[in-house]
Amino acid sequence: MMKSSLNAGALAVAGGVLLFGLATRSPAASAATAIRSSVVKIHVTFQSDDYSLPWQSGQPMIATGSGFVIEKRRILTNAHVVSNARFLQVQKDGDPRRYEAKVTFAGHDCDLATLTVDDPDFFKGTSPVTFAKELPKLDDEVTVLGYPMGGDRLSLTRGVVSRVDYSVYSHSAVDQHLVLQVDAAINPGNSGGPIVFNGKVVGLAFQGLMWAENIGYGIPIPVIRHFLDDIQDNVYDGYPELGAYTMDTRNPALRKDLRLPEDKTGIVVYYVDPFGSAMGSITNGDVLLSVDGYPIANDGNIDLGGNIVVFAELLERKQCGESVSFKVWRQGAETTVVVPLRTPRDPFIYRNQYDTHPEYYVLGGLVFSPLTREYLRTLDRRTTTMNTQQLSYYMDYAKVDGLYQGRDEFVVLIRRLPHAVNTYADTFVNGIVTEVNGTRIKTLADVKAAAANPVRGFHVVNFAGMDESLVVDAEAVKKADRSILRDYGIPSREYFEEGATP
Amino acid sequence: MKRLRPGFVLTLLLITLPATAAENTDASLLQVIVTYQETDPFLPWQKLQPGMRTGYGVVVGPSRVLTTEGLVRNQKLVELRKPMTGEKIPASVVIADCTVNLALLQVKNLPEPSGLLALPVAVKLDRKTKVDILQFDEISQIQHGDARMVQVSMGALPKAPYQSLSFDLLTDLNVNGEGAAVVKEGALVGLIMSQDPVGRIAAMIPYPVIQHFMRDAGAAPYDGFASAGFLWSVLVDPAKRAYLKVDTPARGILILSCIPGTGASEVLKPNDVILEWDGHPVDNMGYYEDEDFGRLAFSYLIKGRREPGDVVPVKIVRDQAESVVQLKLCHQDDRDALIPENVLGEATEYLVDGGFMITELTGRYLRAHGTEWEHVMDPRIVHMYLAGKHATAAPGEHVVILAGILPDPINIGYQQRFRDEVITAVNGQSVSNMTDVFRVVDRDGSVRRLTLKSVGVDLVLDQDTLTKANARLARQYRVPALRYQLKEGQNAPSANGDSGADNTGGPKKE
Repeated sequence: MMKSSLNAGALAVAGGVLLFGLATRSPAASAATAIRSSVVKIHVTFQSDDYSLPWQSGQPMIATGSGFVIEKRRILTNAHVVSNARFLQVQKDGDPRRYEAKVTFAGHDCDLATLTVDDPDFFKGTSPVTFAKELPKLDDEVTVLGYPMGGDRLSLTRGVVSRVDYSVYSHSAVDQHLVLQVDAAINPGNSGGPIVFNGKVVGLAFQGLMWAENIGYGIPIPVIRHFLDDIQDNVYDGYPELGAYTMDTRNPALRKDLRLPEDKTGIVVYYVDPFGSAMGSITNGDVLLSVDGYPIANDGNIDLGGNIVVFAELLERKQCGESVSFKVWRQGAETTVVVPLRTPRDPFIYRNQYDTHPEYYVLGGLVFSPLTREYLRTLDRRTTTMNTQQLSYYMDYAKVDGLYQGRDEFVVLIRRLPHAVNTYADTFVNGIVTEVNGTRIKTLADVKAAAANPVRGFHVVNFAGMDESLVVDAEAVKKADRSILRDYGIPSREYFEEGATP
Repeated sequence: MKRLRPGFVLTLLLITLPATAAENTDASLLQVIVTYQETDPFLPWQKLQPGMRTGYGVVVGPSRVLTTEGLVRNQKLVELRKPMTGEKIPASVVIADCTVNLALLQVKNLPEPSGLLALPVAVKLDRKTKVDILQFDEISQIQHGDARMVQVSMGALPKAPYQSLSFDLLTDLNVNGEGAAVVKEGALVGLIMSQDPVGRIAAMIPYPVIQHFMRDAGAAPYDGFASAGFLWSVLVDPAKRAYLKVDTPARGILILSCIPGTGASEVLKPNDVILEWDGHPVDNMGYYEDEDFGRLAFSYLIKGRREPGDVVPVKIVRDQAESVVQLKLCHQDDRDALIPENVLGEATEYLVDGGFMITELTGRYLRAHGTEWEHVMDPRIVHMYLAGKHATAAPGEHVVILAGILPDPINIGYQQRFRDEVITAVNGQSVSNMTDVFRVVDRDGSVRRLTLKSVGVDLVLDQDTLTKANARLARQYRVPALRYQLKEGQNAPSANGDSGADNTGGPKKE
């Protein structure tokens, strides 16, 4: 009884908002409301893995988000709405039925995902939204549709475009793309809903800013286009990474040192990522003068048809397999460098992990697992040790300081499940494994392989930055292994992702 | 510290102390009032707010007063006050050693008759007897408190990352300042250095350390305390003992690494197992049986029983074979480490050129970034400090850093980006300490280019405008000296020792 009366109240508010929208007869508003039949509510049950006990997951949680119907019977939403989903349903406004849905593609670097619904009834009465051709301008009035907290029915808020900027997408924690900042209210539950201008979708609401008011962020149309183009071949490759770190050349002494003539502007490369596309074609000290014909200013910006944007934005529009052309000032002469943009395969970038389970391998109660951002997050900041700090260092400086060399991932002894065979192993917990039984460790699978060959009856494990070795009796480990797994409730002594099992 | 309840102490006093002994010892205690001021760790040309602390000192000779190093650290003015008087008598620090937390003061103009009595330092103490703690009460009368010894250990000092012989006393007295005297039968047994009022435990610098310190301080030059120069670990794990084939039961510690340039580096190797040190069997936790104090960490055999320069026999197992090696002890200075602690907060060498603030990395600089320093600082330099602060590749090597850039037109384009970066070369010449930096700058006249670790482009300064820029920077940012360089041999005037590792698991240092 209580519940239904609450629902009635929420309905009244939602209805009021919509009526108000119609009454103003603003062209933007009426066009936006025409889209509303395509805006769906997403009900998700998700569960995140516990990276400190990698064989199990946390509590299942329920959340809702928004999405909208696009062509080819798909629903577009945020990747963060459907990440780690165990059960997924979608619901249209005014329709009591919930339809089971599944994720077809998720781009965690750009926080976008597509869903599909098998039941053909679902798409009846919906029509795919129309995307705008270009970004809206500052001060354009936009409408945000979705299912935010505070009610059940579709909600609509309105504001103006405050800023188009380049910013970090918090879902992956490392990627930067264009963002559309609006002053319309964007609240939890709005995620995945369309941002509409003149009846066309110009963006997708995705994140807010803590401690700030009237700042909501949307993923703008170029990023959405990039994602939809990328998955046309049924594979999501992600954004190519140039991997050239640059600093500006505003300092006259630096310009002189680079022998850069007065009339040339650009930015100087000071580090090339070994996994980036630029590796092999661009080197330290190269001055990037222009990108695909657009001159680069001394502060790294380019003029893109009247918009001053950072040069990286031009790369945003490229797909893996395409290339980008730079005019480069190298050793006192100008040259053209064409950089083929490769599909990124960088195990040391440390994006947040989704829709995957942590790999692990247990040997005598010693739990080994690859270093991940998720694992680092489980550690207590108040009890920093040399070992836990070293994990942060290896994560941040893996490439810059060459720590990655000879490795495909960093394998960490993440915990000791106390047992008589491993009593003296505590000082090694959170150490980065370099060698097991004399074998250099490149991946977690190497630990498993090396465990088959104890040295004189002992497993000997060496760690980065530690002079001491961890030694356990191989025969005792063999005897204890089964009971350790049983006592600590570990269903399997290992988990390797598909294709990684040795 | 809180004031004690007077009635309670008086009762104790009546029971335990003969009046004559009390009068003698009362004439030896002085209050020490210290005004101190530290160097600003971020802007090394200026100082932090001055502060004041009070504690105690004990008259140990003509015009000589013994107190704790922690009390007089960064002192700008030291004054002494007798009981029940208001006059302050100026004093100066003769020698202070932070590795044992002791300092010797010289009283400048002692009015005669002083009424002060020098207290002899005890040479022996029965562990079971009660001792007397002396301090001032609120109206500056001498107050006595009863105490009993409960533990002898090589404990961590309260204000420095070193281990030293320490006696723990159980007392009901609320000690109100460090340096409070502990006496027994008219002799000085020790100085209180810290107190845990909840557990009623006070830590005391005991007479053997005081004897050692005063003997050393009496014969110039001051040599300091000995160390051996290696990192070690306990060797309890039966699996590891079996793997290393150490069959002596319950004996031996494992050598992890030796510090270059020390006696240990000449005769010890990683994976050696030490069975006996200087004639004493060492157990697998690193303890031995001391003839005076019982079970004690073997580091006391180095720091307490020996002097720098002594050669000691060490029985080891290497590759299953036992042998005895002769190890020469040395005095390790804090400055010998790759990253010195600089717990004393001494002025560090620096150079400001074109706004580049160039200095050496120290533990003090890292910790000055607040309680979360391990997280807020660049992880590379934090890792260098936590994982390898002793790991010099060559003697005198330090970590030269670009601590920051004072913004000025000359360094435009570099300003926000570079902070706490490791400098590998100046003007194309590789540098491994500030001495190298000064040498290059003296040769070339200025900093022309800086090479930073893992940054593939040098930071270049315009030489034509540099002189003007430096004058402008000095004026705008109020930098009285753009360069601070210690003179040859000026280092460590106050016996700044090197650091041992912490008490927790993992490697320990001797």
